[in-house]
Amino acid sequence: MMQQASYKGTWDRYEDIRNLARQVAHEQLPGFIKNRHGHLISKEAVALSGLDHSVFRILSKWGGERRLAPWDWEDVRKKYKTHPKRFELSVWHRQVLCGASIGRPTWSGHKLRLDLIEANPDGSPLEGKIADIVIIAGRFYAKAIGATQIRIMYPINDKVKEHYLGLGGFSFDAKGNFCYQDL
Amino acid sequence: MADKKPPEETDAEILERLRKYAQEAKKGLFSEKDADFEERGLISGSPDLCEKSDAELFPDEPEEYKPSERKPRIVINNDPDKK
Repeated sequence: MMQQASYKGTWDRYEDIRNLARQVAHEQLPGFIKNRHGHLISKEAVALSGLDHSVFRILSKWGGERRLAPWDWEDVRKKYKTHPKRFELSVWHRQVLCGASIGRPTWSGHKLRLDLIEANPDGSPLEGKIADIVIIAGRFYAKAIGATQIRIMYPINDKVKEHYLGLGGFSFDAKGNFCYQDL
Repeated sequence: MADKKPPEETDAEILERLRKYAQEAKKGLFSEKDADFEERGLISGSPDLCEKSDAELFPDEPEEYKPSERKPRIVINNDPDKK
């Protein structure tokens, strides 16, 4: 008789898969990453991790009043807690949290929605490369779980949208307001 | 999600599969193109999306509807001329 995977087992398994996807995504980064200011950042100083309590504590303090669209990442976390297959990513340069993203596969499991991508509102050494790093990590997680498309939901403005479209392989769905790439 | 069962591959098999994909997709994985926008704060998405179902976000994609959302909608038509 086939044994049903326990809830905890499923939970832990997807945590493992997220880690594997982040590991391979990190391997694909170039040795030096040129940030928006033209500075070369060593890949060795960059880390890709998940979202845990310590990350949410930092996220809750991001930007203060300068933050354009304030929301509570802790609330976001609670809403995604029920999705064991969720995508989550924190992008680090040494001890600096540079970016964060969360998403989940669609009902069919064939598409991965990236529902939120936020860069450090105060700027960071990886400024200009956060979205690109999130997309790489998203692609590998999507591949790992058998999805065949990633969708970047609601680009914040036309410049961001054009950036995604310029990365190659992306199209824009105006009705749903998302950029997508088949894998 | 429809399939709650995790992939039955081992970690080593997943790593091998992802690295093979990386080799195939090597070109274009990481862009040298500079972002033409100030990458600070929200770049994409909305916290409201957390609560949106796929059926709400992608109404033209019936495969993304949960079974409970696939029930036929009953339309009440009180028009007396309509038989």
